[in-house]
Amino acid sequence: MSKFLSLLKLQINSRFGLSMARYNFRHNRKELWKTIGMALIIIFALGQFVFLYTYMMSKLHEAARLMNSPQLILTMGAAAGGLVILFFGIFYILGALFLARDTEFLASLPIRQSSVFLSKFILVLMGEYPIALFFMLPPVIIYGTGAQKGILYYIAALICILLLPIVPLVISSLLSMVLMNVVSRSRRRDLIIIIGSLVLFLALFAGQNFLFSRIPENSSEMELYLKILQSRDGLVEWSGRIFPPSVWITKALSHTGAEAIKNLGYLILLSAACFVPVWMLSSLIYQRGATAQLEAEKKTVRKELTYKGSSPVMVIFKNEWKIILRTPVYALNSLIGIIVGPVLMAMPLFGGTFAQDPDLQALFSLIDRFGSSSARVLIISGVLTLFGCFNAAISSTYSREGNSLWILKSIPVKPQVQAAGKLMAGYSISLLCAVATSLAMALSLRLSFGVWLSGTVLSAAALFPVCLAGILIDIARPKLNWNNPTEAIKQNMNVVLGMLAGATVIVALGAVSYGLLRLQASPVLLYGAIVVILAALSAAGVIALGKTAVRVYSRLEG
Amino acid sequence: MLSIKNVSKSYARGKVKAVDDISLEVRPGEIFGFLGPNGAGKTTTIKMIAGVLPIDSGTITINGCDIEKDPINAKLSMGYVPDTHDIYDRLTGIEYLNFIADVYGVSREERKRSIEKYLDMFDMKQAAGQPIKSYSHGMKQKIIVAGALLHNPPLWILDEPMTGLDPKAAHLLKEEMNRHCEKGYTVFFSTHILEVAERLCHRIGIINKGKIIAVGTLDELRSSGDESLESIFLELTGEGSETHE
Repeated sequence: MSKFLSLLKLQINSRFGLSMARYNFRHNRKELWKTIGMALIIIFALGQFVFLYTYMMSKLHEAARLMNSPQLILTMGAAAGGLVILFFGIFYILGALFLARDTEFLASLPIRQSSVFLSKFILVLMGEYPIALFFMLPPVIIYGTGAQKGILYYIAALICILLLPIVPLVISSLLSMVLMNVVSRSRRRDLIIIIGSLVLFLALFAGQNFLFSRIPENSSEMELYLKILQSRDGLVEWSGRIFPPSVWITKALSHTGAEAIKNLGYLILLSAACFVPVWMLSSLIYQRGATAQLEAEKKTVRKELTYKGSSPVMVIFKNEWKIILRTPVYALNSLIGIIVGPVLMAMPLFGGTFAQDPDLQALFSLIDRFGSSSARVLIISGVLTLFGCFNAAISSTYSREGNSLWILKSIPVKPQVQAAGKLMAGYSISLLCAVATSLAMALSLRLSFGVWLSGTVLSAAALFPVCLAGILIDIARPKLNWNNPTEAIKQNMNVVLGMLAGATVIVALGAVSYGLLRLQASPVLLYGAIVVILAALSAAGVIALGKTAVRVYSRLEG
Repeated sequence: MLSIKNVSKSYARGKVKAVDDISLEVRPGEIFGFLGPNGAGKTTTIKMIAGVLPIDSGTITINGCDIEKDPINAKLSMGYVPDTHDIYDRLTGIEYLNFIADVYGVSREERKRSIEKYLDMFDMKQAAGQPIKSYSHGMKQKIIVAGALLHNPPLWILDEPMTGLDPKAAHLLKEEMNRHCEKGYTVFFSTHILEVAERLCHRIGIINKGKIIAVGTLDELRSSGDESLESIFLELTGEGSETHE
């Protein structure tokens, strides 16, 4: 087998645990059934989101058909998928290509660095296909069924889905390679990786907004709208500015004959034109950036040694924070909400096109509609809790211990106390995210102090059981065997389940609140019911965590 | 076989040099022991030889190939055992060895012969079909050593190879190192076990604070009398005079 194919096979095998699954199938059926059960739970949990997205798309399809542009759902699906991969791809790429644990091993082998880059790129690409499928499959099926498309349409759709993540990932790879080369020349490496990737994330965000805000020169707004409505693909082209390849995907799938082939050709050419130069560049600069992490940060400044003591809970709490802040992959995945939440909510303050994001406008108009009523507070707290849920730290807190778990097991501190320290650390991240987002919201929505405080306090209370659910999921089945820290946090199903559990709590509280509002319940009853539910969930969660910690500690193996 | 000329390395272009202008010639048929206290620059040097870390200045050639200018051919000439056991846990031992054989271009017959030889030698035949995740520390080390040696490279670069090995496996590895040298090949290894270095090595190099402070045979290193390597080491690295409580 060629070196590259052998390397790719090894990476895929290791990443997706194929050998382990085969071994378990033959020798450890119990473990296999556990994995299958977990996969089914995840599919079921994700199913509700697929259903919700499909429902939204079918409604959009109906509306777009009235405007004679039913293919718009393809544009929306491709653009949404492409942007999610673009924004978060940078963290995936950094983790898999530059912060992986196998970097030293691969660097010592007689394999070209461009081959290592390519194999890892393909691995990340494979990991992005579920996202591309999630966003693309419902619109492809809805549009294909509506337009009674044949087999060629579905083949073309498959090609488009396969190509969709390439351009965003290539952009992320290029930015990551440049960042890591800067990092390899600097002293404060971890800090620069964390700050640099957050800056790149924000730059991508701003760049995409700039792309969206472009209005063709030499035309007035009225002329522009007329042009959009008169042309068959006017609406598609206008909406697709947000992610240009989505326009080609739409045209490739909604047109027939030469026009379809031409647009598919554009997509293939763009993907190749983006990928090939970056791949060639990787043969020159990839390894330098990748091995930068192997070099210790030697500091010339002598730090004063401190010997301050803390209580066991505080020690665990502080330790969690220190490890998160000093491990770039952990920091990026745990703290991203603290950056994204406020930036998203503060977008209207930037003025111009930043304030025109349709989703954000819809959210703001929904909040505005309720004036200063209880519903407004509830919506604000729901949004804040949702941002607070996007905290990968809490539901990977035991997984991140990896083969260092023995330290927790060997110290003379009760498992419940350790769990409390870990819970506090994870909760503090969610809380920071909610508070930072609420401040941005207060400024952009000009919230009164009372509404802001009520919304923030309510979200803080809601985040506690959400975090308890996250830590319970992780302690019950931590992912302790991993090859790189990315696997512990980014490729950890516990994180997805934790976020889904959080979303479920929000949906349940939303349903209760909606019911009480429909019954015109008094604010005292409304808030009282929510507080009682949250208190009950929190108390149950704390008891469950204490018991689970004691029960599972003996069987956990790092 | 291995030539290190004026090699320097400082981390993150800092002022402190991890390796400071070192030069060494390791000849064919030689077992070379590389000693030094913790943090002296041993592993940094070995990682530069293995092509894992870039070199700030100087050159390293392996079997005539510059590790920076011709890395593929230089790496084909060596087998490298790192000081860590970071290995693909979710592969089986045999899958790992087959991967190594693929990337070093080992023929089907040769890989079968070589893999069987090392699996037998380290008593790993039963475990080879199991996931590496289930291996003990020593078993992981055995599979890494087997992987590094199976393409029969002329130069072995071993960073603390005895760590984790049981006495039998360590003894067999030492015998294998001797046989390798008898064929005219070279072994360059680091160790903290001075008795092993004393008995096994033809020549010894001692590095301290990034500088080579002594190179030679054990007799050459002895300034007077019949000093042990331990005494020489402590004397040269200045650790003998320190008092630890």
